[in-house]
Amino acid sequence: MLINIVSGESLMRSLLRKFILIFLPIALIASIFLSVAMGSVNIGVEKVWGILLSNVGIPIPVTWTEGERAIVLVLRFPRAIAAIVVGGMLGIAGVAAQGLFKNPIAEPYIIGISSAAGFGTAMTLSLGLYFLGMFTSPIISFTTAILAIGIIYKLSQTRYRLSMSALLLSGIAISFFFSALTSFLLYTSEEQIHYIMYNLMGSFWGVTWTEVYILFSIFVFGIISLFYLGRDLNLMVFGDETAQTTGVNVERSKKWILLIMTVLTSVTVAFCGSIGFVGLIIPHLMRFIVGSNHRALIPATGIAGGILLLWADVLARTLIAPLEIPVGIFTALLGGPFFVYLVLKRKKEGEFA
Amino acid sequence: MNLGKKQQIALGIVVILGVTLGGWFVYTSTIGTPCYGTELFIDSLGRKVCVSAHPTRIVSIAPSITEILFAINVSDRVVGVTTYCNYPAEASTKSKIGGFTTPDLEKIISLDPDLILYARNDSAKIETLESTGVPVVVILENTVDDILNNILKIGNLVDAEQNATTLVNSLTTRMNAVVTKTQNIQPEKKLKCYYEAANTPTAAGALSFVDDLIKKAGGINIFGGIQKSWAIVSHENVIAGNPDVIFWAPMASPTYNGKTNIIARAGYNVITAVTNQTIYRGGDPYQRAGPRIIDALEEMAYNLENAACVIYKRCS
Amino acid sequence: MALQSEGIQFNYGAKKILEDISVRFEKGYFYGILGPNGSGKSTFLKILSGLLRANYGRVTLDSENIRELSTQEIAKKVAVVPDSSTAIFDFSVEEIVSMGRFVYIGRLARETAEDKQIIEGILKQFNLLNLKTRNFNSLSAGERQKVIIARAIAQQSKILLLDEPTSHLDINYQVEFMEMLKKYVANGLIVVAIFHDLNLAAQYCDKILLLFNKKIHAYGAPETILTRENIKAVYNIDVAVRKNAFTNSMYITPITPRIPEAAESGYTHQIKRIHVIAGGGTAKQLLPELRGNIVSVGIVNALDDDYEFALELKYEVISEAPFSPISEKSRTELIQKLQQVDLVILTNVPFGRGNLGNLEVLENCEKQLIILENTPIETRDFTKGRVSEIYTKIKSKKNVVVVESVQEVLKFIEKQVSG
Repeated sequence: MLINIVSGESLMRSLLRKFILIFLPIALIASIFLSVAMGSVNIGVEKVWGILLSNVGIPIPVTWTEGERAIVLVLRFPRAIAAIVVGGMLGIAGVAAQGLFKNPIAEPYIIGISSAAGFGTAMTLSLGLYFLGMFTSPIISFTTAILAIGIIYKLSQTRYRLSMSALLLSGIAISFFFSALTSFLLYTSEEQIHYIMYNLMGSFWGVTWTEVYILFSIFVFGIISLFYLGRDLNLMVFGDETAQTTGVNVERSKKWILLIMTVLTSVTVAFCGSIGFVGLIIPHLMRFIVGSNHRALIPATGIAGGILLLWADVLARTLIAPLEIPVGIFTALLGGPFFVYLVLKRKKEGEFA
Repeated sequence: MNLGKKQQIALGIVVILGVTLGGWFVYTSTIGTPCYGTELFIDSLGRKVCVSAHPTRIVSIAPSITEILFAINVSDRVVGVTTYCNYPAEASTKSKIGGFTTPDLEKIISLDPDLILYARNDSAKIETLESTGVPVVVILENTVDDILNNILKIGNLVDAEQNATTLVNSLTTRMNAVVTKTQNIQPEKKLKCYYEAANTPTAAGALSFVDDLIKKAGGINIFGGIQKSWAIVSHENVIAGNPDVIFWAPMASPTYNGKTNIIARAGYNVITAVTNQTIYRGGDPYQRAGPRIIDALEEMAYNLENAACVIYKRCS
Repeated sequence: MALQSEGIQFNYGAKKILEDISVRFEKGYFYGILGPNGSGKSTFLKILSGLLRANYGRVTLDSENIRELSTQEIAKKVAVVPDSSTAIFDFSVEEIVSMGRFVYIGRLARETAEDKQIIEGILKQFNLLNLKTRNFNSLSAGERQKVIIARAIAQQSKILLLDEPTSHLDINYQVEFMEMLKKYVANGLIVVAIFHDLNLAAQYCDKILLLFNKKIHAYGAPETILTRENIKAVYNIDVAVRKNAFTNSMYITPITPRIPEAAESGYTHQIKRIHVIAGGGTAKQLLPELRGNIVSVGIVNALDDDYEFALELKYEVISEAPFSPISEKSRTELIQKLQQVDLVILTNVPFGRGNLGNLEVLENCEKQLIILENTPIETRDFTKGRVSEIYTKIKSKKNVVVVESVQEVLKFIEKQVSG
């Protein structure tokens, strides 16, 4: 008993962990219902509840207008779910990136996915392509990202292993290259410039239930498969060689993790633009609270990321209503101070002595 | 967190339930686009839109359309405008629904409109606007004549034909007055014009109605060969084009003075317009596809006359 | 259970690292791999564990080629401990040791009660219970290495490969780990470890594999492998190899070359021919100091310490068979030698009937003699007075100088040169 108190971090830590694992899902549900009641148009909470419940089939006397119903069910609700799902996807993609590159400041955009997908979006919008309807832009963006990553994957694949440093370097090259192309497109398409920029900065404006469905199913695929590889990730933290001698098929696991991370990230950028820092901050925070065991970290990050992005989006659409701030800007604003905090913390611990 | 067999099954059930529930929500939440009336209106994109014969709650997502609506006296039936709708002054009293890029859909829905007027050729945006359940009509123009026609069209759409016709008639008279004068100018005597929409420099191209303004005002657009509405050009092009007259549009900064800016530019001192200082302010009415375009036409014609007198001593 | 490598050849690009390495590792033995830097020890270990593929040859585990085994199958049989580990993220000690059970638990399932028991048992064995929840990165190097070895043990493999497991650890940890490994070997684990510390390897390994110049230079028990010749050939240093009376194992000490004193004394080193009459280890301090000269030692018995010293220093030795008195032959040799040298030194030798002959020869020697006397001759006289008699006579000769320390001997030699 005394020993437990002396290594006090453990007692508090394990309590905190259990608390968080129960608290997070509850916070998530609560957040959804709260956020749906907020917006540029004032709709009372009781009305919101009434709308939601009656939609499930519970008979409630109608006190709202058709318009209010549309606002809650067609605009706010899908947006909330989209924000949660995308936040979760980016969060766990961040966990994957940090485990894959064995670096706590890695994040999903590190190998250039957002630049490549962003270029796809810019190209679609400036050329006015619409042959696949609403899905033209997402599909082209997704394809561009996958192609780009496919190329650098081939480049980084040596006879026996996938070189992460080669991946990183070529990813940076891709990032610069596609950013440049996008800038050029922006420059030459003055009419569309505002819309393209808005798209690139990340936004959930006008998201539909169909898109939510697609995002959700990919998220489910992502989180389940990443959880499945959780123990592999645990071991890979110590180095590829250690992982292999402990029984992990390192090359195969690396490829799967890279694939999952790429798909998750590409899909979010394709549909909703670049939303940065979620994939960096949330894994860090969750690691601090639930520990580095990926089997706890991945679910926790999936939920916490969703909550963060949900509230960021609420702010984005209510702060200067009726104008909207791209949600990517909010998360970037959070990221800056977070990094400063990291530096200060490490300085205090003497890491820069 | 370690999952035992039972917990894995529980999780699987939760996931399946969630997906099914979600599907039900999607099904019950989608709103079809109701038809608000019996009229089938064909808009500038050729879309057949089902609208009411007499729309009473109109949302305009373009300053030019707002102007038109006010000019044909249906302002009482306008319920929502963009934050950039600044003319006439009364427009600012209407509810704001945001900007063009991401109009506030909630606000739009809350205004309970029966017609949305949109001024851009953006299919994705149009589809999203339609998802609010309100009919969307798109109004576009390439020439001044298009603008006048659009006024008539809008008049037809909102059941204000009389006002629209009256307005267009008077506008047409004024336009013809200018055109009859300018169409007699011999081609080699027509002044070369450069309309700068932004100091990138961005010029008005052949597809912009400003190009038509220039033609009607008796000038030649030195960038009239570019098949675009707005084109980014280079200063070299401008210098090579050697316009006799330059029109500049105000920029975001209120202290921006296009004339001084242009005169100061490197290499521009050889341009006829610069040596003669025939540089005029353009902007708002020139680029707004509404009734005031004729004001712009008259002003432009007047300035060109003036310039011809100053530069070539062809005074009248 | 046996791990065998046959004809392993490994190239790194165009450069050959290993050539034709064939060795068999069997149950119940503690193997040490030694060799200078760049001799391919780590590479060989990685080939044994399947991390690297040899260009030629094969590695078999119980006659199965490891190339045909899956990563999981290999992990169940072979566990590897790298020389150091850092975790970029924080894990607790218990979490890390549990990771060793990965091959048995798989990806989805939970740890069974049996797994938990095994982990608990190993933590206890390694004295890690009170560190169970501590963050790995907050431990000392020795504690961290302990955790890593514990994780490898948790893998319950038949073979344990270690790459310099104790290189940067304190001596207490070194001993603790070695003893632990020895226990596991006794229980049937095959342990193969790379060492840099020759003495540690000599003390604990049953067999040593000495790698040099891409090949196996030698393989066998420490006594036969760790010889002066082998070490000189492989590491290019001179060493003294001894058997430690306590541990009954070899221990190796490098012999540093004597650096001639600088010009401050104006001493220019001139090579002298010196003969030392020694015995019983009394010349231990003196002999190394005489290097640079042509030194001979004798007459000493073959088991005598001074005999060993002399041999190691490569001095000429006039020796006698153990326990035998000085023979006529040796006596003649000594007389001849004394005629050749410039200087004779007599150390603080105890004399008995066996080596009395040395003194007798000295009596008639007219060469410069330095007597290094630390204790009175009477205490060293085991001949009931005969020795003391001759000794005292020698002392009174004119060519004799008596000193009490090695420094004085050296000073005298110096003076001789300049003077």
